[in-house]
Amino acid sequence: MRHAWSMVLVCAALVTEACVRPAGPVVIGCVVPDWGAPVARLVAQELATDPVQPRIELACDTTAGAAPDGALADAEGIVATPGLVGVVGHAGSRESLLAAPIYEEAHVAQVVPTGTSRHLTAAGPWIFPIAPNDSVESAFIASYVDDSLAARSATIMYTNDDYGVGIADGAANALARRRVQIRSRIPIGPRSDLDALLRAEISLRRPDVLIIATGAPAAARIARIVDTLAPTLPIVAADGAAIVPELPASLAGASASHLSLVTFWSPDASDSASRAFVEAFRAVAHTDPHASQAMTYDALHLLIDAIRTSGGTPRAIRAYLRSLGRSVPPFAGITGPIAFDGNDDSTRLVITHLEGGRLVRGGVR
Amino acid sequence: MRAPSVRNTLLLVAAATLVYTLAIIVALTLSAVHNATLADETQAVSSVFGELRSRVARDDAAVQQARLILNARGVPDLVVLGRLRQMLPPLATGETVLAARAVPAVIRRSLARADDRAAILENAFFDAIARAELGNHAGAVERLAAADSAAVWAGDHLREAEQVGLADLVQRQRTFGRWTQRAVLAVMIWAGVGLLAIPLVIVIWHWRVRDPLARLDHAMDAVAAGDLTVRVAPHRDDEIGRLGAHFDAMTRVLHARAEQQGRLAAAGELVAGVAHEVNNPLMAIALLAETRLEDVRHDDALREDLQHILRQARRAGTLLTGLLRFARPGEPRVESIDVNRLVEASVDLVSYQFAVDEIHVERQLHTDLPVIDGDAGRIEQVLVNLLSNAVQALREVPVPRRLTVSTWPTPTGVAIAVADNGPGVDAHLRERVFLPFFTTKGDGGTGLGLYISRQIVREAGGDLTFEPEHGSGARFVVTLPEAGGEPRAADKRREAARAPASDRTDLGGLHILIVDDEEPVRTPLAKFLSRRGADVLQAADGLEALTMLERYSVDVIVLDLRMPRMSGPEFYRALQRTHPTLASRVLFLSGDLRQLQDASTPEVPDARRVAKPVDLAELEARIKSVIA
Repeated sequence: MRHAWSMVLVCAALVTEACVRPAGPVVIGCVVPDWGAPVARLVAQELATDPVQPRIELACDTTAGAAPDGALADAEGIVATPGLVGVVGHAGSRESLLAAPIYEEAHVAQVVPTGTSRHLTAAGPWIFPIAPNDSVESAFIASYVDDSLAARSATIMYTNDDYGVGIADGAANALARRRVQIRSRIPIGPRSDLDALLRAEISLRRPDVLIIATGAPAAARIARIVDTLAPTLPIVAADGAAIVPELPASLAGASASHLSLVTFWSPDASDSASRAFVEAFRAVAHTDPHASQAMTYDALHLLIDAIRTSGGTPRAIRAYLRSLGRSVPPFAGITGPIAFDGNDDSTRLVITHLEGGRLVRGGVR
Repeated sequence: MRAPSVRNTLLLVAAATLVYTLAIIVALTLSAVHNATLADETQAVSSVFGELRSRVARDDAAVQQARLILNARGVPDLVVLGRLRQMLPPLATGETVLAARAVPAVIRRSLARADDRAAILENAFFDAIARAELGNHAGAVERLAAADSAAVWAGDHLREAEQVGLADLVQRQRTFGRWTQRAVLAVMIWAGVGLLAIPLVIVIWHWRVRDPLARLDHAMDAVAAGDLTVRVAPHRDDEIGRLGAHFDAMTRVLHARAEQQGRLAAAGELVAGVAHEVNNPLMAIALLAETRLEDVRHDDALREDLQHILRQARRAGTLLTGLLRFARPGEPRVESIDVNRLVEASVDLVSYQFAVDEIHVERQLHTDLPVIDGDAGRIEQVLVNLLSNAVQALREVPVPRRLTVSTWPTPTGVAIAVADNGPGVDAHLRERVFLPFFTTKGDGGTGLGLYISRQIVREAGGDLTFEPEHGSGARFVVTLPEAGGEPRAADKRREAARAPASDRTDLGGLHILIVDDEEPVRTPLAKFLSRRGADVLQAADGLEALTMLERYSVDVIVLDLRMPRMSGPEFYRALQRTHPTLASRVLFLSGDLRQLQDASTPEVPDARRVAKPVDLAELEARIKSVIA
């Protein structure tokens, strides 16, 4: 009788497992801008030659739209993919926050590669940001501004959204603790009159350093304007400006060399994993990868590892991700160890500057 | 298929009750959680709306203030513009709409659009202030117009979000109502299921517990009322069924035991009557022989014959006494027992079979055994049963047939073994020899002998065990605990009776009345007492004795128990009323002294009981003891 009950339980478990596990290939989605396309190609190539089961496929949307409508449409589109168990995306904090409820409702793990808002962690049980949050990054910026640039006053310009507000607020607080005076905190957008804003700021309030938390186009415009108004004014850009480093380089030209950019990884990293990744990426894209691409590559491999370790069901994947750094060792990524133990560290943050359109370690002096 | 036990049935009912209770609790909890989520999200939406509305209103107020300043005459002061900037303090992290996780997805889109427009408004405001600071008045006004436009857009999106939120709230209220209705319905259905289950539980209770227990209770009442034929006849192999089966087995044992005791009691009555009739002639023979032996004129040959007659008469008397004790056991009497004497008496009781069946009896009796406490009659019953079994077993084997009775001291008391070289007991039957109704004698045995024997020994604090003999044969061992404490009162009285009561050497001067209906007993006894110097009166029954007591003074009365017209006990009771002092000097004479255990007869000390056939020297000693 006891044996019969055991058989019934085993059968029930198998049926349950069969119902939960997708019937076809396990699919990982990625929702990133066009710079994510070569990463997706590289990972797809790796998966195609990988005999390990279960079979994993990628479903990538590298035309990710802007928030709010674009991000929501992208998320609603990707969750309809059959066999989807995890998503890498979105690139920005605002888009990631907007899409998080959709992935949570679909029970799909969302690994955010580059979003830094500290609210991402609290946005639900299915979201896993791997980049240092804005609190960590702004403390790192404040440290650089105070310790390396010895600035005593600063103006912060930021995009008026979750990303920009998070960095600006964090940096203002961190600088205040270091007794660096904040001259202004100026929100900006695509239609902002940057020339007037910078001219008024530089002429009237004369900050020692300009901290910007913007995207690459705005950073390029700011660099160019500052180059004309105050060529010696240091500009420290948060990670948003370095997501696509080619942009500031191409848009700002020589002026871009005034930028000190905070990034999560640099292609000149000397470790073997990074070198191997750079080589593989060059073979696919014929160019060096930048930090956002490395982070996306890490996010995709984190999900692949979670699927193969946990068995591939969404809940098992989520449980495995939550255990990283707690009951299992952190995932060894190209950009550094990845864990979700609540202990953010700034070890992967580096200061870089542009030389010949490429990021090079070290800030602008 | 074996029925589930009562324990498992009750556990099943308890588990079902637990599942029933948990199910309703879980259902209500899930409903409460769902409703709590609805409440949380509604509160979050309300809060976000409030914050966003405040933000847009604050932004709009700042823009209006800027417009007033810029429309005033003259270039605005930088200090004034600085104050104007202060009207829009930078947002802190967490103040953005999207940080509110509990906001449902359907509203987030509209709220995000409103948030975007608020951001555009704020950006345009800062642009306007910067342009104003740089003296570009027209440019500043232009950016304020853009801010106005953004404010309008923000308001539109906010209203759109409010409409969506309102619709969502209505939907939530409907959902809440549906959940509440479902919860109420679930509770009602579940309560109905519970009501339906109650009769089922009651039926199960009656079926598995109450009815079987009631049958058992009725059967026990019947047994208590004396009906040992009642049976429960359980239908189910569960705890109560097994209890019923044990009850049936127990009543079968009691019934068989009662029947056997009834037969024994009838046999005892028969034996008692025979013993009385045989005892008197035996006593007459013994008395005549003993009296004749006192005549010194007889030659040696005659004296030897008389001695032989006396010994055989006394032996026959002793056997009769033992037979009476065995066949008519009275109330249990705990007394100190000389084990070897008891063993000898038991062997004597069955000794007539030994010669017939050519059985050689070997006695290995330890000479230094401790005294034990117990009912001699019941322990003798055990030994006779063991000896009878041994004799029956030995009949199945050819000669030589050997029966060994041995005693030895143990650390706790005494052991008695009865062994034979008979066929023994098969190995597969050994564990069952003490079970009730087990017999190897076919219809010739009840199967209760060893069972009852072991019960008797265990009640006495000992045990009866079976030990297979090496080779062949059987050996049963009785162990009994040693007597503890002071000698018993009855034993003290017996010792006192045996001791010389006075220094008188004869019965000179004593007036003794012999009351016995048997003249052959009465006359030789009277002759003996007369020769010892007593004045002897004789009466044939109690009535005659009472008449004689009216005329003569008497010191001692020797009284038989069984007599016509007025028996010994009846005479004794009458004497207690009329001559209480003399009543204390009555010696009772009988082959069956247990007749004195009649409840209507006052207790008589052992010292005044004399068993037939009487030893004349002992009788004289008892008379002297009574006078003393």
